[in-house]
This record gives sequence, structure tokens and C-alpha cells, in this order.
Amino acid sequence: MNQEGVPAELPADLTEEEVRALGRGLGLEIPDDVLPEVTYRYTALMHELGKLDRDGLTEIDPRPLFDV
Amino acid sequence: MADETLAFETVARLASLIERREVSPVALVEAYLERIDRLNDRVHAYITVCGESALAEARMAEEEIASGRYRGPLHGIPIGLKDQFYTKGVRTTGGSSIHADMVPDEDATIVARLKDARAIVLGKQNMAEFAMGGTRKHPYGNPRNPWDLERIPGHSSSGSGVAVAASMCAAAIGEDTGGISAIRPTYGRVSRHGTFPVSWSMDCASPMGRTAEDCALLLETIAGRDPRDPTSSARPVPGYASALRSDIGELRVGVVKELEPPTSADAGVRAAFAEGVGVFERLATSVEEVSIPLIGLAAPVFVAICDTDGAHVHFDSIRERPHDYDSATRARLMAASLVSAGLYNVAQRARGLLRGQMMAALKRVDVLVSPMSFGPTPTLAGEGAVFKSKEDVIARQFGSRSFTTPQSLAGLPALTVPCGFNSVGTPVGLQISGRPFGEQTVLNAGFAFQSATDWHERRPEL
Repeated sequence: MNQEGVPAELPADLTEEEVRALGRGLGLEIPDDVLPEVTYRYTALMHELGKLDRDGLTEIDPRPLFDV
Repeated sequence: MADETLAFETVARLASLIERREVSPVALVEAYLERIDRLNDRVHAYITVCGESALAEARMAEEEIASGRYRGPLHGIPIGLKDQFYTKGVRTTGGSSIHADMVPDEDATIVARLKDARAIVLGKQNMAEFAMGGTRKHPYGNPRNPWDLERIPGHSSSGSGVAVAASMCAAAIGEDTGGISAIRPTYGRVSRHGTFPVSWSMDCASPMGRTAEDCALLLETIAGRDPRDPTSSARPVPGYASALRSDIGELRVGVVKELEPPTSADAGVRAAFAEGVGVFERLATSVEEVSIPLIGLAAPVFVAICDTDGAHVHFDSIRERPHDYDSATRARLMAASLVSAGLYNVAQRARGLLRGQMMAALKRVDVLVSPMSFGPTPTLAGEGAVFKSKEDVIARQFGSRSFTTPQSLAGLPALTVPCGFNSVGTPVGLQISGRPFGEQTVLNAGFAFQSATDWHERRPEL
């Protein structure tokens, strides 16, 4: 983490077993029939979010909601 | 035999006919019920059809209008509701077999407002399981595109889009936009109370109809502050429909550079979008290119937030009964369950940055225009295929969601109008987005566009 709380790096591609273990750490047993797809989906998300310019994000607060 | 031609009319036209008592709400409901009876097994637009109650409400509307108690333009108008919205006494499945027997004891706020306006609920419409999109095997039948039954009709609000396009209702309330006329309002413009949640900071009921004018009529009915939804806005609700105007000579239009169809895009999409922009070049004061650099990463940012919110909603259930979910929903929710708080935080920062870029563009121009897709409409088989690699997810899941997720993330209003056909003969949507609470501006742009074109008058042969 840098001082603004933005993770500096995202994990590299995870294996199916690492994804399964990640789930177990949360109490989530990922069934075998979807484990490959869960792994693809998760690593795809990591890969794409890794393209964000982290420096550009340090100047802005997280904004879940805008003025209504 | 009901007069089927009535089913093809706009809400605005039907309202005029009903007010003058030239059309009976009963005859209108009968016309739609006949079409539903004839077509629903082919297109799977409805999960639950409320035939008896709709006819009873129609008879009541007819009596009220006959006795001089006309309530306004939705009085006696048959509509459909995405099965995401709670309906008192009528099962509300959320598109899932898990809630096959769930019968709410109250109406969603938007449903109550439609009923107060005396709109008639024809039934509950099919949808992606829990509005997550990408469902492979819908428990109530896979919705099919009425322009090509082997292709998908859209994503989350598929049944509502099908029902409007196939004239199986006069209009509908969905929760996103597609190849018909539909408006996704500013976040907070409509109440979320009584809606199956996906993402608390993005969920937004969306009127769907044949025209921008019909969308305006529905939006002004359902919009406004609701004490039961603390995120709903207290801003006054304008009379959108009565304020519509086709003179947009002062409008400045921005074409989003990053979403302009590249040479690799479907030829039909490219032609339709170019023609759509050409319409604005004739009608508006200016059309210029604007850049929103972060828009290319909007889809993964959206997934990191929306799917993670959804995973939280379903976490206990997905752990305890994973195989009661469709395989795509199951994989999507499980993948999202793994997203860390740090990553969610990053995505929310990116969201703020994206909103800032969109707002900066909307200082230069009044509306942004972009296509709803680059490619031809996917086939049912292609869309339902299991992801085979990380790259496959990036191309198919993120690629198809790059067009509407920016507005969802930024909470901005967006109207979609048809602007032509792609190479496989299904409609191409042109998206017009605006500033927060700028619904009137985007509706005026759509109204002007539809006053100058006739794409919205085309209908599929079924």
C-alpha cells in the first residue's frame, strides 16, 4: 500500500488452487464445476484493474455515491 | 377478436384515444393478452401474466373514465414490470428459481406510483437471474430477441425489452437500457424501495417504451423523493413530457471518442451510428468529439463494484445453495466474493475519476452520444458459452459492458433510441447521456431525433 491506501500492485495470475484457497479463507467452497471459470473471471478483473494509473487515483477519494 | 393494431401504438397516442373514449382500456388489455398468449412461448418475455387482474383493472379504469374521473396519461395503459420489482400479492422471482414462490406483501414504490396513476399491470417480465446479466439457463425460459429468435435481446432487463419490442405491452419498467427507447435516470431520481438489490449505489428503475415521449410519461410518474429510500432525491420532478421540444438548435453534442465504432466494428453499427450523429449535425448547434480516457476501463471498474455489491447480497445463499444459481451467476458471484476491500476501494476511486472526466466533458457539451455496442447482437449459444480463459472474459464480459457502465458508475442519465440496424438485422441503439438530473435535456434530444427519423416505428415480424 502507498500512503493514500491504494494498493501499489495487484497479484499476478492466480492458479485454480490459489483461487480455491482464497475462497476457503472466506468460508466459500468453490465447486469444481465453476472453479476454472471463477479463476478466469477473477484473474481477468485483476488484469484489467491493473491497467489503472495508480498515481492518478491517489488524489481522489473513493466515491460510492454522488450528490442526490 | 381484439384490435391488434392498438398494441403497436405509443403510450402518448393511446392516452389520447383513451381520454377521448375512442379506445377502451378493456379492449387494449385484451389485445396485449392475445399477443402475450400467442408469442410468449416463443420469446419468453413474461414470467407471470396477470390476465384476470389486468382485465379487472381495465374495467375499473373504463368506469372511472366514463364517469369523468380521468387521472392522466397512464390511466388505463397496460404496462409490464421487470420481475425485480415487488408487486403486492403477485410473485416476484428476481428471475431466479430460488424465489419461485416469493409473494411480496407490498408494492415497490415505483409500482405503487404507477398504480396510483391507474396504469394496468399486465404481468412480471423475464430478466437475468437476480439482474446479474449473462444468465445461461433462465429458469423461466431464455428471452429471445424478437428481431432474430436465435439472438439475445440484451442483458438484465431482457424480458422487458422483448415485451416492448414485440408489442406485448405498451411500455415497461426495466432496470437498464437497450435497443428500444429507454431512459436510465440519474441515480436517486427514482426510489429503489421494493427492488431486488444488485448494487445499492447503481440500481435504478428505467422506463422503456417505443419513444422518448413514452419514457418521459413513465419517468415523471415514478420519479421523486421516497422516505423509504434515503438515497432518493428531494428535487422537484418536472413534467418531462409536456416540456418536450424538438427544437434543439442550442444543443451542443459531444461524440465520445473512445466509443466511436472502429473500422473493426460491425459495418451496420458503424453506418447506423454515423447516420445518427449526422442527424444531430443537422439539428443541433454543434457536434464535436470529446475524450473520456478512463471509459475503456469502466467495465472492469463496474464489475469490481457492482458484482462485489451483489456478492455481498447473495453471500450466505451462494455458500449454502450454490447449485440453485445458474452456472454463470454462480461463477460471477463467487469471483466477486474474492475481491478485497482494497481493490473495491481502488475501484471506487476510479469511479470518482471517471465521473470527473465525464463531468468535464459535459461542461464543454450538453449531451454525450455513443453507440450501445460495436458488434452484431450475440447469439444465444455464443453468449451462453462458458468462459475459456482470462482473455475470453476480457473480450466478452468486459467488452460488451463498456457502453452503458460509464453512466451507471457516474450516476448520469442516459436515453437510448434506435438509430438503425446492424449486419444481422437487429436494432442498433444510440445512447444520449447528460448531466446529473438533466433528464429533460436528454429526452429533448431523443424526442428531436425521433421527430427526424423513423427507426422507432419499425417493428419485428412475429
